[in-house]
Amino acid sequence: MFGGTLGHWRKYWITALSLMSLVVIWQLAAMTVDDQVILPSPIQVFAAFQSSWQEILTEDLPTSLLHFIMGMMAALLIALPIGMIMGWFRLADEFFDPIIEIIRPIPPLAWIPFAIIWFGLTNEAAAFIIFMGAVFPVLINTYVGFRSLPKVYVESAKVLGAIKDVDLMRYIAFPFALPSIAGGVRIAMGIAWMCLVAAEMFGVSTSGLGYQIWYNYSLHKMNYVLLYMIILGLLGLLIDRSFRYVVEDKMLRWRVGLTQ
Amino acid sequence: MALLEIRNLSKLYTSDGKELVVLKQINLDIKENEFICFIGPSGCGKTTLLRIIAGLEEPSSGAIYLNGEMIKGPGPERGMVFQEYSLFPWRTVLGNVAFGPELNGVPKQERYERAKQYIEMVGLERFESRYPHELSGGMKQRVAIARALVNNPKALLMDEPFGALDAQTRNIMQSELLRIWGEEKKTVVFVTHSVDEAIYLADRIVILSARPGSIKDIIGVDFHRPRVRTSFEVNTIRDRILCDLRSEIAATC
Ligand SMILES: Nc1ncnc2c1ncn2[C@@H]1O[C@H](COP(=O)(O)OP(=O)(O)OP(=O)(O)O)[C@@H](O)[C@H]1O
Ligand SMILES: [Mg+2]
Repeated sequence: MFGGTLGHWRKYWITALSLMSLVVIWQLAAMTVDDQVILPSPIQVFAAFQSSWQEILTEDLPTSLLHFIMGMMAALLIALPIGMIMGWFRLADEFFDPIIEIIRPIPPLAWIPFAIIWFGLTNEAAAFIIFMGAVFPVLINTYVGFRSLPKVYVESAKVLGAIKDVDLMRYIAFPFALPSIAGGVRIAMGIAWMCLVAAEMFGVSTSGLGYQIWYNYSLHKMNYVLLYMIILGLLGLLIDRSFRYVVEDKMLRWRVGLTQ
Repeated sequence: MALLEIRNLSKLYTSDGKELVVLKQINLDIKENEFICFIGPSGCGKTTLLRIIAGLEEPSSGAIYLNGEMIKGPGPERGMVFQEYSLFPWRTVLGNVAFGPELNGVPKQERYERAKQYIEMVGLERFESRYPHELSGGMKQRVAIARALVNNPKALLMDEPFGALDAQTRNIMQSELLRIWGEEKKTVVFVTHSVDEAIYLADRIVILSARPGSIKDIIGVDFHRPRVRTSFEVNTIRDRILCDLRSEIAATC
Protein backbone atom coordinates (compact mmCIF):
# COMPACT_ATOMS: atom_id res chain seq x y z
CA MET A 1 0.00 0.00 0.00
CA PHE A 2 2.80 2.38 0.92
CA GLY A 3 5.12 0.63 -1.49
CA GLY A 4 8.91 0.29 -1.37
CA THR A 5 10.87 1.24 1.74
CA LEU A 6 7.94 2.89 3.44
CA GLY A 7 6.00 -0.39 3.40
CA HIS A 8 9.11 -2.11 4.68
CA TRP A 9 9.38 0.19 7.67
CA ARG A 10 5.71 -0.11 8.34
CA LYS A 11 6.14 -3.87 8.67
CA TYR A 12 8.90 -3.41 11.25
CA TRP A 13 6.80 -1.03 13.28
CA ILE A 14 3.87 -3.39 13.30
CA THR A 15 6.10 -6.30 14.34
CA ALA A 16 7.58 -4.27 17.18
CA LEU A 17 4.14 -3.12 18.29
CA SER A 18 2.81 -6.67 18.19
CA LEU A 19 5.63 -8.03 20.35
CA MET A 20 5.37 -5.14 22.78
CA SER A 21 1.67 -5.74 23.28
CA LEU A 22 2.40 -9.40 23.97
CA VAL A 23 4.84 -8.44 26.76
CA VAL A 24 2.42 -5.87 28.20
CA ILE A 25 -0.50 -8.31 28.23
CA TRP A 26 1.74 -10.96 29.76
CA GLN A 27 2.87 -8.57 32.49
CA LEU A 28 -0.72 -7.55 33.26
CA ALA A 29 -1.85 -11.18 33.30
CA ALA A 30 1.01 -12.15 35.63
CA MET A 31 0.14 -9.26 37.95
CA THR A 32 -3.48 -10.42 38.03
CA VAL A 33 -2.58 -14.07 38.70
CA ASP A 34 0.05 -12.94 41.18
CA ASP A 35 1.66 -16.38 41.57
CA GLN A 36 5.20 -16.91 40.39
CA VAL A 37 4.70 -20.65 39.97
CA ILE A 38 1.62 -20.45 37.77
CA LEU A 39 2.70 -17.52 35.62
CA PRO A 40 6.01 -15.74 36.14
CA SER A 41 6.00 -12.16 34.90
CA PRO A 42 8.36 -10.75 32.26
CA ILE A 43 10.18 -8.89 35.00
CA GLN A 44 10.74 -12.09 36.97
CA VAL A 45 11.96 -13.88 33.85
CA PHE A 46 14.34 -11.02 33.17
CA ALA A 47 15.63 -11.27 36.73
CA ALA A 48 16.30 -14.96 36.12
CA PHE A 49 18.17 -14.00 33.00
CA GLN A 50 20.28 -11.45 34.83
CA SER A 51 21.38 -13.93 37.45
CA SER A 52 22.08 -16.84 35.11
CA TRP A 53 23.20 -15.44 31.76
CA GLN A 54 26.85 -16.24 32.35
CA GLU A 55 26.06 -19.84 33.14
CA ILE A 56 23.85 -20.04 30.08
CA LEU A 57 26.55 -18.67 27.81
CA THR A 58 29.38 -20.75 29.18
CA GLU A 59 27.60 -24.02 29.92
CA ASP A 60 24.08 -24.70 28.78
CA LEU A 61 24.18 -23.05 25.38
CA PRO A 62 27.49 -24.68 24.32
CA THR A 63 26.30 -28.06 25.59
CA SER A 64 23.01 -27.89 23.72
CA LEU A 65 24.63 -26.59 20.55
CA LEU A 66 27.19 -29.38 20.79
CA HIS A 67 24.41 -31.98 21.03
CA PHE A 68 22.59 -30.36 18.16
CA ILE A 69 25.61 -30.11 15.89
CA MET A 70 26.82 -33.62 16.64
CA GLY A 71 23.39 -35.10 15.97
CA MET A 72 22.83 -33.07 12.79
CA MET A 73 26.29 -33.84 11.43
CA ALA A 74 25.86 -37.55 12.02
CA ALA A 75 22.44 -37.39 10.36
CA LEU A 76 23.84 -35.61 7.29
CA LEU A 77 26.81 -37.96 7.10
CA ILE A 78 24.55 -41.01 7.02
CA ALA A 79 21.47 -39.65 5.24
CA LEU A 80 23.11 -37.87 2.30
CA PRO A 81 25.13 -40.80 0.90
CA ILE A 82 22.38 -43.36 1.50
CA GLY A 83 19.71 -41.07 0.06
CA MET A 84 21.85 -40.36 -3.01
CA ILE A 85 22.72 -43.99 -3.61
CA MET A 86 19.09 -45.04 -3.14
CA GLY A 87 17.91 -42.34 -5.49
CA TRP A 88 20.39 -43.33 -8.17
CA PHE A 89 20.70 -47.12 -8.07
CA ARG A 90 17.53 -49.20 -8.17
CA LEU A 91 19.19 -52.12 -6.38
CA ALA A 92 20.25 -49.94 -3.43
CA ASP A 93 16.72 -48.55 -3.29
CA GLU A 94 15.21 -52.03 -3.06
CA PHE A 95 17.74 -53.10 -0.46
CA PHE A 96 17.58 -50.13 1.91
CA ASP A 97 13.88 -49.38 1.61
CA PRO A 98 12.57 -52.19 3.88
CA ILE A 99 15.13 -51.37 6.58
CA ILE A 100 14.19 -47.72 6.53
CA GLU A 101 10.48 -48.40 6.53
CA ILE A 102 10.87 -50.56 9.65
CA ILE A 103 12.98 -48.10 11.64
CA ARG A 104 11.47 -44.81 10.51
CA PRO A 105 8.07 -45.08 12.27
CA ILE A 106 9.74 -45.58 15.69
CA PRO A 107 9.50 -42.18 17.43
CA PRO A 108 13.04 -40.93 18.09
CA LEU A 109 12.39 -40.50 21.81
CA ALA A 110 11.67 -44.22 22.12
CA TRP A 111 15.42 -44.69 21.64
CA ILE A 112 16.28 -42.88 24.89
CA PRO A 113 16.69 -46.01 27.04
CA PHE A 114 19.00 -47.61 24.51
CA ALA A 115 20.89 -44.36 24.07
CA ILE A 116 21.64 -44.37 27.79
CA ILE A 117 22.56 -48.08 27.81
CA TRP A 118 24.84 -47.71 24.81
CA PHE A 119 26.44 -44.35 25.45
CA GLY A 120 25.82 -43.63 29.13
CA LEU A 121 25.02 -40.08 30.23
CA THR A 122 27.21 -38.52 27.57
CA ASN A 123 26.97 -35.95 24.82
CA GLU A 124 26.92 -38.86 22.40
CA ALA A 125 23.72 -40.20 23.92
CA ALA A 126 21.91 -36.90 23.42
CA ALA A 127 23.35 -36.57 19.93
CA PHE A 128 22.10 -40.06 19.13
CA ILE A 129 18.49 -39.11 19.89
CA ILE A 130 18.84 -36.00 17.74
CA PHE A 131 20.37 -38.12 15.01
CA MET A 132 17.39 -40.49 15.08
CA GLY A 133 15.04 -37.56 14.66
CA ALA A 134 16.99 -35.81 11.92
CA VAL A 135 18.26 -38.62 9.75
CA PHE A 136 15.03 -39.62 7.99
CA PRO A 137 13.78 -36.24 6.74
CA VAL A 138 17.19 -35.62 5.15
CA LEU A 139 17.36 -39.11 3.72
CA ILE A 140 13.86 -39.08 2.26
CA ASN A 141 14.24 -35.62 0.72
CA THR A 142 17.60 -36.49 -0.78
CA TYR A 143 16.08 -39.62 -2.25
CA VAL A 144 13.05 -37.80 -3.63
CA GLY A 145 15.26 -35.05 -5.09
CA PHE A 146 17.37 -37.60 -6.92
CA ARG A 147 14.35 -39.55 -8.10
CA SER A 148 12.57 -36.56 -9.59
CA LEU A 149 15.53 -35.63 -11.80
CA PRO A 150 14.23 -35.13 -15.36
CA LYS A 151 15.79 -37.44 -17.91
CA VAL A 152 16.71 -34.59 -20.25
CA TYR A 153 19.35 -33.23 -17.82
CA VAL A 154 21.00 -36.63 -17.52
CA GLU A 155 21.01 -37.09 -21.28
CA SER A 156 22.32 -33.58 -21.92
CA ALA A 157 25.17 -34.29 -19.52
CA LYS A 158 25.91 -37.62 -21.15
CA VAL A 159 26.08 -36.05 -24.57
CA LEU A 160 28.42 -33.41 -23.16
CA GLY A 161 30.76 -36.10 -21.87
CA ALA A 162 29.53 -37.07 -18.39
CA ILE A 163 29.34 -40.83 -18.74
CA LYS A 164 30.34 -42.05 -15.26
CA ASP A 165 27.73 -42.38 -12.52
CA VAL A 166 29.88 -40.31 -10.12
CA ASP A 167 30.00 -37.43 -12.58
CA LEU A 168 26.27 -37.55 -13.23
CA MET A 169 25.52 -37.69 -9.51
CA ARG A 170 27.93 -34.92 -8.62
CA TYR A 171 27.29 -32.48 -11.46
CA ILE A 172 23.65 -33.17 -12.30
CA ALA A 173 21.63 -35.07 -9.71
CA PHE A 174 23.09 -33.39 -6.62
CA PRO A 175 22.68 -29.76 -7.70
CA PHE A 176 19.22 -30.56 -9.02
CA ALA A 177 18.25 -32.21 -5.73
CA LEU A 178 19.74 -29.46 -3.56
CA PRO A 179 16.50 -27.53 -3.00
CA SER A 180 14.78 -30.72 -1.92
CA ILE A 181 17.74 -31.65 0.30
CA ALA A 182 17.72 -28.17 1.84
CA GLY A 183 14.02 -28.57 2.59
CA GLY A 184 14.77 -31.87 4.28
CA VAL A 185 17.55 -30.34 6.36
CA ARG A 186 15.21 -27.57 7.49
CA ILE A 187 12.57 -30.05 8.62
CA ALA A 188 15.29 -32.15 10.26
CA MET A 189 16.61 -29.17 12.20
CA GLY A 190 13.13 -28.47 13.56
CA ILE A 191 12.75 -32.07 14.69
CA ALA A 192 16.29 -32.11 16.03
CA TRP A 193 15.53 -29.10 18.20
CA MET A 194 12.52 -30.87 19.74
CA CYS A 195 14.51 -34.05 20.27
CA LEU A 196 17.27 -32.05 21.92
CA VAL A 197 14.97 -30.73 24.63
CA ALA A 198 13.39 -34.12 25.23
CA ALA A 199 16.72 -35.95 25.31
CA GLU A 200 18.21 -33.50 27.80
CA MET A 201 15.05 -33.51 29.92
CA PHE A 202 14.88 -37.26 30.26
CA GLY A 203 18.30 -37.49 31.76
CA VAL A 204 20.49 -38.31 28.81
CA SER A 205 22.46 -35.23 29.78
CA THR A 206 23.43 -33.32 32.94
CA SER A 207 23.47 -29.86 31.45
CA GLY A 208 22.00 -28.02 28.50
CA LEU A 209 18.92 -25.88 27.91
CA GLY A 210 16.53 -28.84 28.00
CA TYR A 211 18.12 -30.20 31.15
CA GLN A 212 17.74 -26.81 32.84
CA ILE A 213 14.03 -26.72 32.10
CA TRP A 214 13.50 -30.00 33.92
CA TYR A 215 15.90 -29.21 36.73
CA ASN A 216 14.33 -25.82 37.48
CA TYR A 217 10.89 -27.35 37.27
CA SER A 218 11.85 -29.77 40.04
CA LEU A 219 12.78 -26.71 42.12
CA HIS A 220 9.56 -24.98 41.00
CA LYS A 221 11.62 -22.02 39.78
CA MET A 222 9.16 -21.41 36.99
CA ASN A 223 10.62 -18.08 35.90
CA TYR A 224 13.78 -20.00 35.01
CA VAL A 225 11.74 -22.62 33.17
CA LEU A 226 10.12 -19.90 31.11
CA LEU A 227 13.47 -18.24 30.49
CA TYR A 228 14.92 -21.42 29.02
CA MET A 229 11.77 -21.95 26.96
CA ILE A 230 12.14 -18.49 25.46
CA ILE A 231 15.82 -19.05 24.73
CA LEU A 232 15.02 -22.34 22.98
CA GLY A 233 12.35 -20.66 20.90
CA LEU A 234 14.54 -17.72 19.89
CA LEU A 235 17.47 -19.98 19.09
CA GLY A 236 15.30 -22.27 16.97
CA LEU A 237 14.04 -19.23 15.09
CA LEU A 238 17.58 -17.92 14.62
CA ILE A 239 18.86 -21.24 13.29
CA ASP A 240 15.97 -21.57 10.86
CA ARG A 241 16.30 -17.97 9.64
CA SER A 242 20.06 -18.14 9.13
CA PHE A 243 19.71 -21.42 7.28
CA ARG A 244 17.07 -19.97 5.01
CA TYR A 245 19.12 -16.86 4.43
CA VAL A 246 22.32 -18.69 3.58
CA VAL A 247 20.90 -21.62 1.65
CA GLU A 248 17.70 -20.44 0.05
CA ASP A 249 18.58 -16.83 -0.70
CA LYS A 250 22.25 -17.28 -1.58
CA MET A 251 22.88 -20.82 -2.77
CA LEU A 252 19.54 -21.56 -4.44
CA ARG A 253 19.13 -18.32 -6.32
CA TRP A 254 18.51 -20.27 -9.52
CA ARG A 255 15.25 -21.55 -8.07
CA VAL A 256 13.61 -18.14 -8.28
CA GLY A 257 10.95 -18.33 -10.93
CA LEU A 258 10.87 -22.10 -10.94
CA THR A 259 8.79 -22.27 -7.79
CA GLN A 260 5.73 -20.15 -6.92
CA MET B 1 34.64 -41.66 -46.72
CA ALA B 2 31.53 -40.33 -45.09
CA LEU B 3 31.65 -38.92 -41.58
CA LEU B 4 28.54 -40.79 -40.46
CA GLU B 5 27.48 -44.08 -41.98
CA ILE B 6 24.09 -45.46 -41.05
CA ARG B 7 23.93 -49.13 -41.99
CA ASN B 8 20.79 -51.31 -42.03
CA LEU B 9 19.54 -49.54 -38.95
CA SER B 10 16.33 -50.81 -37.36
CA LYS B 11 14.78 -50.06 -34.01
CA LEU B 12 11.89 -51.70 -32.28
CA TYR B 13 10.43 -51.05 -28.86
CA THR B 14 8.61 -53.63 -26.81
CA SER B 15 6.05 -52.30 -24.40
CA ASP B 16 3.37 -54.46 -22.73
CA GLY B 17 4.61 -57.44 -24.73
CA LYS B 18 3.76 -55.71 -28.00
CA GLU B 19 6.44 -54.94 -30.51
CA LEU B 20 6.53 -51.55 -32.15
CA VAL B 21 8.81 -51.13 -35.13
CA VAL B 22 9.92 -47.51 -35.13
CA LEU B 23 12.75 -47.48 -37.67
CA LYS B 24 13.18 -49.95 -40.50
CA GLN B 25 16.28 -50.54 -42.58
CA ILE B 26 17.76 -47.06 -42.68
CA ASN B 27 20.85 -46.66 -44.85
CA LEU B 28 22.49 -43.28 -45.25
CA ASP B 29 25.91 -41.69 -45.60
CA ILE B 30 26.40 -38.21 -44.20
CA LYS B 31 29.43 -36.31 -45.46
CA GLU B 32 31.73 -34.09 -43.47
CA ASN B 33 30.42 -30.49 -43.16
CA GLU B 34 27.10 -31.51 -44.63
CA PHE B 35 23.85 -30.02 -43.40
CA ILE B 36 21.23 -32.79 -43.38
CA CYS B 37 17.58 -32.32 -42.50
CA PHE B 38 15.27 -35.14 -41.54
CA ILE B 39 11.62 -34.51 -42.06
CA GLY B 40 8.67 -36.83 -41.61
CA PRO B 41 5.27 -37.27 -40.00
CA SER B 42 4.97 -37.12 -36.22
CA GLY B 43 5.91 -40.36 -34.51
CA CYS B 44 7.88 -41.72 -37.46
CA GLY B 45 11.03 -42.09 -35.39
CA LYS B 46 13.01 -38.89 -36.07
CA THR B 47 13.89 -38.35 -32.43
CA THR B 48 14.69 -42.03 -32.05
CA LEU B 49 17.09 -41.91 -35.01
CA LEU B 50 18.85 -38.87 -33.61
CA ARG B 51 19.09 -40.46 -30.17
CA ILE B 52 20.69 -43.55 -31.69
CA ILE B 53 23.26 -41.36 -33.46
CA ALA B 54 23.90 -39.59 -30.15
CA GLY B 55 24.40 -42.96 -28.48
CA LEU B 56 21.55 -42.46 -26.02
CA GLU B 57 19.66 -45.40 -27.50
CA GLU B 58 20.86 -48.68 -28.95
CA PRO B 59 19.78 -49.90 -32.37
CA SER B 60 17.91 -53.21 -32.50
CA SER B 61 19.90 -54.18 -35.55
CA GLY B 62 22.38 -52.48 -37.83
CA ALA B 63 24.90 -49.89 -36.72
CA ILE B 64 26.15 -46.34 -37.14
CA TYR B 65 29.79 -45.53 -37.76
CA LEU B 66 31.52 -42.26 -37.08
CA ASN B 67 34.75 -42.00 -39.09
CA GLY B 68 34.55 -45.76 -39.53
CA GLU B 69 34.16 -46.47 -35.82
CA MET B 70 30.98 -47.99 -34.49
CA ILE B 71 28.99 -45.76 -32.13
CA LYS B 72 28.49 -47.53 -28.82
CA GLY B 73 27.44 -44.74 -26.47
CA PRO B 74 27.29 -40.99 -26.04
CA GLY B 75 30.45 -38.97 -26.52
CA PRO B 76 31.55 -35.36 -26.78
CA GLU B 77 32.36 -35.68 -30.48
CA ARG B 78 28.60 -35.67 -31.10
CA GLY B 79 26.85 -32.66 -29.63
CA MET B 80 23.09 -32.58 -29.27
CA VAL B 81 20.47 -29.88 -28.93
CA PHE B 82 17.25 -31.33 -27.57
CA GLN B 83 13.65 -30.78 -28.61
CA GLU B 84 12.76 -29.55 -25.11
CA TYR B 85 14.72 -26.98 -23.11
CA SER B 86 17.63 -28.79 -21.53
CA LEU B 87 19.83 -26.12 -19.92
CA PHE B 88 20.85 -26.92 -16.35
CA PRO B 89 18.71 -24.49 -14.34
CA TRP B 90 21.20 -24.36 -11.45
CA ARG B 91 24.00 -23.06 -13.68
CA THR B 92 24.34 -19.65 -15.25
CA VAL B 93 24.69 -19.28 -19.01
CA LEU B 94 28.46 -19.27 -18.54
CA GLY B 95 28.32 -22.30 -16.25
CA ASN B 96 26.16 -24.19 -18.72
CA VAL B 97 28.43 -23.52 -21.66
CA ALA B 98 31.58 -24.27 -19.64
CA PHE B 99 30.17 -27.63 -18.50
CA GLY B 100 31.78 -29.79 -21.20
CA PRO B 101 35.32 -28.39 -20.69
CA GLU B 102 34.83 -28.60 -16.91
CA LEU B 103 34.23 -32.34 -17.21
CA ASN B 104 37.39 -32.68 -19.26
CA GLY B 105 39.35 -31.00 -16.48
CA VAL B 106 40.07 -27.77 -18.34
CA PRO B 107 41.21 -25.17 -15.76
CA LYS B 108 38.66 -22.55 -14.73
CA GLN B 109 40.22 -19.56 -16.44
CA GLU B 110 40.64 -21.36 -19.72
CA ARG B 111 37.22 -22.99 -19.81
CA TYR B 112 35.51 -19.68 -19.08
CA GLU B 113 37.46 -18.06 -21.88
CA ARG B 114 36.40 -20.77 -24.29
CA ALA B 115 32.81 -20.62 -23.10
CA LYS B 116 32.74 -16.85 -23.52
CA GLN B 117 33.94 -17.16 -27.07
CA TYR B 118 30.95 -19.36 -27.93
CA ILE B 119 28.51 -17.27 -25.93
CA GLU B 120 29.65 -14.36 -28.05
CA MET B 121 29.19 -16.42 -31.18
CA VAL B 122 25.51 -16.94 -30.35
CA GLY B 123 25.21 -13.25 -29.41
CA LEU B 124 24.53 -13.57 -25.68
CA GLU B 125 27.63 -11.94 -24.16
CA ARG B 126 25.42 -9.60 -22.14
CA PHE B 127 23.60 -12.52 -20.55
CA GLU B 128 26.45 -14.77 -19.44
CA SER B 129 25.71 -14.47 -15.72
CA ARG B 130 21.97 -15.01 -16.08
CA TYR B 131 20.19 -18.18 -15.04
CA PRO B 132 18.13 -20.10 -17.62
CA HIS B 133 14.81 -19.01 -16.12
CA GLU B 134 15.76 -15.43 -16.96
CA LEU B 135 16.08 -16.19 -20.69
CA SER B 136 13.58 -16.34 -23.52
CA GLY B 137 13.03 -19.57 -25.45
CA GLY B 138 15.21 -18.46 -28.34
CA MET B 139 18.03 -17.46 -25.98
CA LYS B 140 17.83 -20.83 -24.25
CA GLN B 141 18.33 -22.64 -27.52
CA ARG B 142 21.22 -20.34 -28.41
CA VAL B 143 22.89 -21.29 -25.15
CA ALA B 144 22.19 -24.96 -25.86
CA ILE B 145 23.91 -24.57 -29.24
CA ALA B 146 26.91 -22.81 -27.65
CA ARG B 147 27.08 -25.51 -24.98
CA ALA B 148 27.21 -28.23 -27.63
CA LEU B 149 29.75 -26.39 -29.81
CA VAL B 150 32.25 -25.61 -27.05
CA ASN B 151 33.19 -29.32 -26.99
CA ASN B 152 34.20 -28.96 -30.63
CA PRO B 153 32.09 -31.92 -31.79
CA LYS B 154 32.38 -33.37 -35.26
CA ALA B 155 28.63 -33.60 -35.60
CA LEU B 156 25.90 -31.40 -34.19
CA LEU B 157 22.59 -33.22 -33.74
CA MET B 158 19.56 -30.97 -33.46
CA ASP B 159 16.08 -32.23 -32.65
CA GLU B 160 13.51 -29.62 -33.68
CA PRO B 161 15.51 -27.01 -31.75
CA PHE B 162 13.35 -24.12 -32.92
CA GLY B 163 10.03 -25.97 -32.74
CA ALA B 164 8.80 -24.03 -29.72
CA LEU B 165 9.72 -20.59 -31.07
CA ASP B 166 7.51 -18.04 -32.80
CA ALA B 167 7.87 -17.60 -36.55
CA GLN B 168 10.07 -14.46 -36.49
CA THR B 169 12.46 -15.75 -33.85
CA ARG B 170 12.60 -18.99 -35.73
CA ASN B 171 13.67 -17.29 -38.95
CA ILE B 172 16.36 -15.35 -37.12
CA MET B 173 17.62 -18.50 -35.43
CA GLN B 174 17.80 -20.27 -38.78
CA SER B 175 20.04 -17.66 -40.35
CA GLU B 176 22.15 -17.49 -37.17
CA LEU B 177 22.59 -21.25 -37.31
CA LEU B 178 23.72 -21.06 -40.92
CA ARG B 179 26.20 -18.33 -40.01
CA ILE B 180 27.62 -20.44 -37.17
CA TRP B 181 27.72 -23.50 -39.39
CA GLY B 182 29.68 -21.47 -41.91
CA GLU B 183 32.16 -20.33 -39.25
CA GLU B 184 32.57 -23.64 -37.48
CA LYS B 185 32.36 -26.12 -40.34
CA LYS B 186 30.37 -28.82 -38.61
CA THR B 187 28.28 -31.68 -39.83
CA VAL B 188 24.72 -30.87 -38.80
CA VAL B 189 21.93 -33.41 -38.52
CA PHE B 190 18.75 -31.43 -38.06
CA VAL B 191 15.28 -32.80 -37.42
CA THR B 192 12.29 -30.66 -38.26
CA HIS B 193 8.57 -30.68 -38.87
CA SER B 194 8.74 -27.67 -41.09
CA VAL B 195 9.27 -28.04 -44.84
CA ASP B 196 10.27 -24.39 -45.14
CA GLU B 197 12.88 -24.74 -42.44
CA ALA B 198 14.34 -27.81 -44.14
CA ILE B 199 14.59 -26.09 -47.53
CA TYR B 200 16.10 -22.96 -46.03
CA LEU B 201 18.79 -24.88 -44.16
CA ALA B 202 19.68 -28.19 -45.74
CA ASP B 203 22.15 -29.47 -48.28
CA ARG B 204 20.05 -32.60 -48.44
CA ILE B 205 16.58 -33.30 -47.11
CA VAL B 206 15.80 -36.85 -46.03
CA ILE B 207 12.10 -37.62 -46.05
CA LEU B 208 11.03 -40.38 -43.70
CA SER B 209 7.90 -42.45 -44.17
CA ALA B 210 5.25 -42.85 -41.50
CA ARG B 211 5.99 -45.43 -38.81
CA PRO B 212 7.90 -47.67 -39.24
CA GLY B 213 10.19 -44.89 -40.43
CA SER B 214 12.25 -45.64 -43.48
CA ILE B 215 13.84 -43.37 -46.03
CA LYS B 216 11.23 -42.44 -48.60
CA ASP B 217 13.13 -39.85 -50.56
CA ILE B 218 16.32 -37.80 -50.45
CA ILE B 219 16.26 -34.37 -52.05
CA GLY B 220 19.41 -32.39 -52.71
CA VAL B 221 19.02 -28.63 -52.32
CA ASP B 222 21.96 -27.15 -54.12
CA PHE B 223 21.11 -23.49 -54.65
CA HIS B 224 22.94 -20.62 -53.02
CA ARG B 225 22.52 -19.39 -49.49
CA PRO B 226 21.01 -17.24 -48.14
CA ARG B 227 17.98 -18.69 -49.86
CA VAL B 228 14.94 -16.64 -50.63
CA ARG B 229 12.06 -18.37 -48.94
CA THR B 230 9.63 -17.56 -51.74
CA SER B 231 11.78 -18.08 -54.83
CA PHE B 232 10.70 -20.28 -57.72
CA GLU B 233 13.19 -23.10 -56.99
CA VAL B 234 12.16 -23.20 -53.34
CA ASN B 235 8.52 -23.46 -54.33
CA THR B 236 9.22 -26.33 -56.69
CA ILE B 237 11.04 -28.30 -54.01
CA ARG B 238 8.41 -27.47 -51.42
CA ASP B 239 5.69 -28.89 -53.65
CA ARG B 240 7.63 -32.09 -54.13
CA ILE B 241 8.24 -32.58 -50.39
CA LEU B 242 4.66 -31.73 -49.48
CA CYS B 243 3.46 -34.26 -52.01
CA ASP B 244 5.74 -36.93 -50.49
CA LEU B 245 4.61 -36.10 -46.99
CA ARG B 246 0.92 -35.91 -47.88
CA SER B 247 0.87 -39.48 -49.10
CA GLU B 248 2.64 -40.55 -45.87
CA ILE B 249 0.32 -38.71 -43.55
CA ALA B 250 -2.68 -40.07 -45.44
CA ALA B 251 -1.27 -43.57 -44.82
CA THR B 252 -1.32 -43.00 -41.09
CA CYS B 253 -4.82 -41.56 -40.84
N1 LIG C 1 11.25 -45.49 -24.94
C1 LIG C 1 10.23 -45.82 -25.76
N2 LIG C 1 9.49 -46.92 -25.52
C2 LIG C 1 8.47 -47.25 -26.33
N3 LIG C 1 8.10 -46.56 -27.42
C3 LIG C 1 8.80 -45.45 -27.71
C4 LIG C 1 9.89 -45.02 -26.90
N4 LIG C 1 10.40 -43.88 -27.44
C5 LIG C 1 9.65 -43.62 -28.52
N5 LIG C 1 8.70 -44.55 -28.70
C6 LIG C 1 7.73 -44.60 -29.80
O1 LIG C 1 8.45 -44.57 -31.01
C7 LIG C 1 7.76 -43.80 -31.97
C8 LIG C 1 8.68 -42.78 -32.58
O2 LIG C 1 8.99 -41.82 -31.59
P1 LIG C 1 9.88 -40.55 -31.91
O3 LIG C 1 9.91 -39.72 -30.70
O4 LIG C 1 11.18 -40.99 -32.46
O5 LIG C 1 9.03 -39.83 -33.05
P2 LIG C 1 9.28 -38.42 -33.74
O6 LIG C 1 9.36 -38.67 -35.19
O7 LIG C 1 10.41 -37.71 -33.12
O8 LIG C 1 7.94 -37.67 -33.41
P3 LIG C 1 7.69 -36.09 -33.23
O9 LIG C 1 7.79 -35.49 -34.58
O10 LIG C 1 6.30 -36.02 -32.70
O11 LIG C 1 8.72 -35.58 -32.29
C9 LIG C 1 6.54 -43.20 -31.29
O12 LIG C 1 5.41 -43.93 -31.67
C10 LIG C 1 6.82 -43.39 -29.82
O13 LIG C 1 5.64 -43.65 -29.14
MG1 LIG D 1 10.62 -35.95 -31.93
